[in-house]
Amino acid sequence: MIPVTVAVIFIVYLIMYLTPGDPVALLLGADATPELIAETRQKLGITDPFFVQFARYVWNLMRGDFGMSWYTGNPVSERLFAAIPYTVTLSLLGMLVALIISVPLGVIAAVRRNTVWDYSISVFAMIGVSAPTFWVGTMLILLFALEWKMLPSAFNNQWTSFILPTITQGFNMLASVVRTQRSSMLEVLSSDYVRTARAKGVSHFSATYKHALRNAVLPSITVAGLNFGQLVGGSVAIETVFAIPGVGRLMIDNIKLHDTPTVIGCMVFVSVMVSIINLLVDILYGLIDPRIKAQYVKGNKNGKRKNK
Amino acid sequence: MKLWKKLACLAVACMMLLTAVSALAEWDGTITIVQSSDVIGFDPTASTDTNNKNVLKNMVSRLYETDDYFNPVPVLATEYKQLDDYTWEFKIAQNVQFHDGTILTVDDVIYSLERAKAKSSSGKTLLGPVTSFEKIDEETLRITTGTVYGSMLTALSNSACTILSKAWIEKAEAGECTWDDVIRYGATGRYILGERNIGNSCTLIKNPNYFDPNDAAQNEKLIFRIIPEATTRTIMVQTGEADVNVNFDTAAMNDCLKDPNVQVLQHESSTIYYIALNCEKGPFTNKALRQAVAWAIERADCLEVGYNGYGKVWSNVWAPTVYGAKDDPYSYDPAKAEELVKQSGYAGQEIKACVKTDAEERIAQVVQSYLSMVGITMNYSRIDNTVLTEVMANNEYDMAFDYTAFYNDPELFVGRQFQASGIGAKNYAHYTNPEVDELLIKAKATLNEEERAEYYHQINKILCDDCPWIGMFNSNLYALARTGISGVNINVETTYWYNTICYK
Repeated sequence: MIPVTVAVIFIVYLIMYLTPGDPVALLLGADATPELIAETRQKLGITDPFFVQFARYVWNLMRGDFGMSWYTGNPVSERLFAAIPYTVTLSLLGMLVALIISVPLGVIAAVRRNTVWDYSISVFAMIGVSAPTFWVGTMLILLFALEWKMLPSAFNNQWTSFILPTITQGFNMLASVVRTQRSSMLEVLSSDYVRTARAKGVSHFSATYKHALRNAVLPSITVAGLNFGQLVGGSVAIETVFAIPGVGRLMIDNIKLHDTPTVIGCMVFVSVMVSIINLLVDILYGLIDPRIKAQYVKGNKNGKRKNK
Repeated sequence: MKLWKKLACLAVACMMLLTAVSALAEWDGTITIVQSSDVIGFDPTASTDTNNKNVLKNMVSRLYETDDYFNPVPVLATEYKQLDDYTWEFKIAQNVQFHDGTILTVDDVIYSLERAKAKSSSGKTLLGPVTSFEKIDEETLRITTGTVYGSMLTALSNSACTILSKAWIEKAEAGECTWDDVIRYGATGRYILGERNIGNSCTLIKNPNYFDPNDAAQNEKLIFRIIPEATTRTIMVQTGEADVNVNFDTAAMNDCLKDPNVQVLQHESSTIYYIALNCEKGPFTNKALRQAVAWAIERADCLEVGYNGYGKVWSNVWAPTVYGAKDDPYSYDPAKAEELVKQSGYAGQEIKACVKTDAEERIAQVVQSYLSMVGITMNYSRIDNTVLTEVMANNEYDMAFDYTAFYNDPELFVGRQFQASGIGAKNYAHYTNPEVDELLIKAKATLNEEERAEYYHQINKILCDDCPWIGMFNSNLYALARTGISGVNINVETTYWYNTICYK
C-alpha cells in the first residue's frame, strides 16, 4: 500500500507541476501587481525545483502533515477529513445497493436465459453501462425532485438526501455486476456438480441458490471490489450534481484552482481507500470460498503457498 | 355515489386543505440562498471571489458602501469634508458595537485601512495615493494623499477596506484565533456568523445590536448552501428547497419564466464581453487591422451564442455604466472592414486567439466565421483561466476573448488596463499611448466632476478608436427567487445585500 501511495503522489505531483498556469494569479485576483505575484510565489515555495518541493511534501506527509491549502491558507487535513465521511458513506451505500440489486438480477437472467426476463435485464444493464452518472443524476433530480416532489434535489444532511445520489452511484456499478453475475452463474449452472445435485433429487431452488450461487458470486465480488475505486473516483460527478461536500468535489474544485496540496491530499485518500478495499476483497474471498481459505492455511503449514 | 368515489373526493379535499394550510404557514424568518462556490476565507484583504465577498459583506461594515450603480453611500462614516485637495476628514459613527459588545474606535478604523493598504491587492491599488491615516480626536479620521484623488469614497467602499476590531485582527495574526472568530466577534455588520459547514453551508444570524435599527436585517437567519451545479441550483428554488439563487444560469431562463413558483430578477450590469488585441506584437500592431475586426463582427450573434441574448450589443471598450463611456462606436459593416484589411497590408497570416470558457468558445466560433468573410484567418485554442493570464502577461497571443466588470470611476482602472504600468498585469493588450497618459494625469489632477468626466470621455474616445480592446456586448445580471420574495438587491456587479430579502 505504501509504495502504491508514494507512486501516486509522485505522479500527481509531477502532473500538477507540469500543468501550465499560475495559481498565484488566480489566488490574488486581477488587481495583483507583478511584485506581489512574485512575492507570493516565493512564499508558497513554488519557485523551488520539482524534487525539492516533492521531497518537502513527502517529508511533511510522513509526519502526518498534508500541508496548507494555497487558496484558503487552512490545513488541507481539516477540509479533507471533513469531506471523507461523505465520500465513504456514498461509495459504501452505492456498492451495497448495487450488490443487493445486481446479484439477484444476474441470477434471474441466468436462470431464465433467453427469455423476456433475460433480455430486459440485459437491456437494463446496458443502459447502466452506457449512461453517464452526470446525466443519470440530473434525470433523477428532474423526476423525483422537480416533477414528483418526493425527494430533495441536493444534499441537506438528512438521510433522504442520500437516496438519489446512492441510486446514481449504484446504477453504474450495478450494470457491470449484473453482467458478470449472469455469465458466472451460467457457467456454474452447467457444471457437473450442479447437474449431479439435480440428478440426486436436490430441488431446483436449492441447487441454484444454495449450491451454485455461492461459487458464482465470487467474480461479482472481484468486479465490485475493482469498481469501488471507480466509485470513489466517480464520486466527483455525483458530489457535484447533488452538492455533497465530499472528497470528489473537493478535488475537482481545487484542480480548477491549481491548489496542489489539496489535490494531492485527495489523491492520497483515494489511493489508500482503493488499496484497503482490494485487501478486504482478498479477505472476503477466503471467507466465502473455503477452498481459497484452505489453500492459505495449507500453504502456511507447509511453509509455502501452493497454487491450485 | 359509490363509497370509493366519496373516499377519493375526501382525499382530494384533504390534500387541497393541507396545501392551503402549508401555503399560509407563517414564515420563520429564514432565507436559504444557493450559490455556486463556498466561502474561501473571511480575511477581507485576501478575499477575491465574488460569492465570498458577498457573504462577508453582510456581516461587516465599511466607512462607505456602494449603491446599485456603484455610487458611494456613507455607513460607518457619518460625514466628510475636504480641507484641501490632499486632505480628507471623516466623522466616524459613535456607539457602534462590534459583535463581542466592544465599541468601534477610530483606532480600529485606522488599523483596518492600513492593513488593507499593506496586504490587499486591490487595497494597494485603491489606497495607493494615501500617504497617512491620522486620528484627530475620538470621532475624527484624517486621510492625507500624495496626489489629488477624486476616487477616495469609492476606494473606501471596496471590500478590502472593511472595518474590523483591531484586537481581534491582532489575535488572528498571532495565531490565537481563526478568521471565523474575527468575523464572529470583531465585526459590526447586520449579521453574526453562525454555524459553518465547510463546502456545504454557512449560516448567518441577525445581529440584534446593529447600530442602525432602521436599516437592520428584515429576516432572522440566512443560510448559504453551496451548490456547484447550475441545474441543481435552479431546481432547488423551483421546488422550494431554497429561496434565492444568486448565481442563476440563463440556460434555464425559459423554464423559469413559465414556472409560477419562481420569479426571475434582472439588473443592468457593468460587465462586458470583449476581445483583447495584442498591440505590441504580431499583426494587431497595425491599428487599421484592429479597426477592421471591430467593423467585421455582427455582435448580436455573439450575444445570442455567448449569453443566450440576455444583454445588449455594446462595442465600446468600457461598460455603459462607466462615466465617460457614452458611445457605441462600431456596428456590423463588412465592406468597411474589408477596406481596412486591404489598407492594413494584412497578408493572410494565421491569427492565434485564446478562449477559456464555453461561452467564449462559442463567441470565438462566430467571430472566426465573420473574420473569414473579410479575409482574416483566425484560429482559437481553449486554455485554462490561469494559463490565459500567464499567456497574456507574457505577450504570447494575438487575440484573447475575455469578460470583465468595471468600476464606474475610470480612475480606478484605466491606469492598470491601458498604461505601461499595467503591462504584465491587467494591461492584456500591451497598449500604450502618450496621449492617454497625458489626459489621465490631467483627469487625476482635478476634483471637478465635470472636468474629470470630460477628460475620461476623451480617453474613452481614443481607446475606442485605437481598439486595444473591442467591446462585444454588455450582459445583464440575473437572480432567481421564489414567488412572494421581495428585497433581492442586484447591483451592476452582483447580487449583494441580503438583509432586505423577505416574504411579504
